[in-house]
Amino acid sequence: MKKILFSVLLIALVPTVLSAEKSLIESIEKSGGLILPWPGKANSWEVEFHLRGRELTDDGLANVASLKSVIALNLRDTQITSAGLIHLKALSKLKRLHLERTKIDDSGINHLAGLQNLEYLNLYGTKITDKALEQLKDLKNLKQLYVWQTEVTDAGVEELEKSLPNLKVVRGIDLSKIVIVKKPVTTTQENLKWMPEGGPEKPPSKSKTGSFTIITFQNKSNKNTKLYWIDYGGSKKLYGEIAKGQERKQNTYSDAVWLITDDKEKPLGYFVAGTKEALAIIPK
Amino acid sequence: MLSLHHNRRDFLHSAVGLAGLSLPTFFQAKATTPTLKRKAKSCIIIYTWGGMSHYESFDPKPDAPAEIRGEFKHIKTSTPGIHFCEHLPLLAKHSEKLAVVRSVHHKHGGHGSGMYVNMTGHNPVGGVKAKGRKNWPSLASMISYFHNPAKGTPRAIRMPYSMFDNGGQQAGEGAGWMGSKYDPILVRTPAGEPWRGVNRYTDHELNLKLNLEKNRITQRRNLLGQLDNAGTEETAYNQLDHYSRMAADMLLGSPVREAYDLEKEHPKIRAMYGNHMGGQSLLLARRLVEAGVPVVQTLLSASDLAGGSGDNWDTHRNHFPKMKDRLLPVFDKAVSGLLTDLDMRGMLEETLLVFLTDFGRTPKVNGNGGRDHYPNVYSLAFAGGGIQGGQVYGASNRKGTEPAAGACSPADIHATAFKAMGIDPSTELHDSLDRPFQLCDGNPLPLF
Repeated sequence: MKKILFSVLLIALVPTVLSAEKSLIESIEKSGGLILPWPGKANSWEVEFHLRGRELTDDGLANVASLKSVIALNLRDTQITSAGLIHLKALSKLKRLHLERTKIDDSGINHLAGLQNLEYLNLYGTKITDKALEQLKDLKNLKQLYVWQTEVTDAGVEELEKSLPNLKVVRGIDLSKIVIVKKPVTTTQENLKWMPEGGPEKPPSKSKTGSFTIITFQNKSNKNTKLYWIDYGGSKKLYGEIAKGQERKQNTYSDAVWLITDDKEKPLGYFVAGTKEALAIIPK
Repeated sequence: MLSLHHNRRDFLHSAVGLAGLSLPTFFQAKATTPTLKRKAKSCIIIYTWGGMSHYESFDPKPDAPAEIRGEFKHIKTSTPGIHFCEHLPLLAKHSEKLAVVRSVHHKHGGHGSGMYVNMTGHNPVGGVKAKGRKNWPSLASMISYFHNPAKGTPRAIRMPYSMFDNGGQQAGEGAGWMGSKYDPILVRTPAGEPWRGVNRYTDHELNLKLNLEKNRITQRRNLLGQLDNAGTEETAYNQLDHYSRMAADMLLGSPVREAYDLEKEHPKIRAMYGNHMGGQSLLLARRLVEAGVPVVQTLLSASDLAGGSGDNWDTHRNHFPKMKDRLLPVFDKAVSGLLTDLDMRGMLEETLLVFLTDFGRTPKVNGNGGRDHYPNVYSLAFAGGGIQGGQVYGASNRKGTEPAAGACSPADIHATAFKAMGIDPSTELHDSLDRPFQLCDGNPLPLF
């Protein structure tokens, strides 16, 4: 009798457990979380919020913690804070954790100290300092730690490396060492001749192929214009619009014919590209 | 019999298109084989269009006779025993992240077929033409098939333009028989000093920078409607539908639109990649991957090989000055910038980098100081995505004229990429006539 009762109880319980997990998964997915099976292990998960679930807050993280067998968790760019990290304590199987570009700081890192399986931890772009690193020194399996754009120092990293000799700390480049070199602007630009529609000078009826060059169109007229290329067969192809007062850089070939129209496609005039980079000024 | 096939297929396509119905689900096969390894999440394909010389990049031959060795010296990398060309000094510091394959070979001496076999992993049969729906899908299309990103995020993006040779667009960059739904979306890189050479924009092309204002989307839709669809076998309707819908979705507040705005990037990070089309394209690639685009393909060279003086890798003339002054510095800076950036953000393991090119260049320098096409042996590379860096697979012989060890094909390179992305290379997909096609008939190289 007892046996039967037990079986009945078991049969009754199993679906409840399954449906609890199912509703958990559904609610994680509802908040933008993507749940993927972890390869090679049944009922183990990789959970990602960084693409569709960036609105995730600390409360939303509680659902993830209830899922238990989470092996990898990506919280990049979400709204979580240090207070929310308490939910991660339950995820003892966690191997990979992305917390980069979140609002966390040193105060929540102690919740990670017990995650003994952690191998990968990404903290780049957060406010953490050396104090956070001190809390990580017992994570014996930690192999990769990312701390670019944080407040950690050489001394802090050295200290952590003493405790974890197999750890690779990626600190990234020092942006202050990158010098932006500005190339001098080429001043030897010639101006292309404006051939107004109906004027004495007629442009060629179609473009010819030539060498590569660049034209900078400047609209100094008081109306919005459109830019057409007259192709090799003589038909016009729209390339874009140049609003009044605006300019546009255009790759082209020498001997290419360019037509300027007003915004109602009424022709105003033409330019023919030369071999050198040039300015093409649409006059008043 | 064959022509009957074609007729039926064309009829089906046009009937479906005219009726305005959505195409039925042609592809039921999914990669069901469970993998024990965690797969890479995204893939960046870096293509040096025109054929990058193996001598002046990943496989210098200091012991070859002078007429083969060329003008450049070799330099040490961070990995003992691995040497690169002296004009890749930045990349040499990243050798621990790179797996170089020095023994790739195939049989195609022309750009069109050389590109096709590298891009699709299959030999071209008969005359393949650009946008043909009988072509094999590109690597980008095939990988993207196995991903289902959020709305407004394309499965695959390619930039900054299509491959052209003498004014003719080349086959192998599209989704071929997989259908337009899987064509990578072509976008224009919005910044950087343009490549010198012929940059053709005659394809469907999206310049999101021109479209940042929402109220212009309708106009853009109309403009897209005017674009020429010549040369396609599929009805214009279907192509336009997929393309314009995706364009509109991308423009309406998706993370992709945000990623496209390079002005939002730190100016020093932008400078790290180099202020040229090559560098800014790879920077954009990183931002797109971060935004959830599964596959990004970038062309690191000017698009039309007919621009003899252009910045492409087809260096029949003045090979050495061109490589030294224009091509290698851009490649070096852009790729090193990408590797540094992905690494410090903790993204390198999840992002597979695949380097492809048409073929290598001839051993003997020709009368014009150039090197010609040479498919007998050439070098390609991988980085990230679970691939073990700091290694060289295979070798060419002392003169760099043929594989001496580990000879492999573009199909093997594809199989390696599929494996890294968690896709079984022997997966079968079905075309619109339900004919089964095995993704790839190569074998993954032991680079993991």
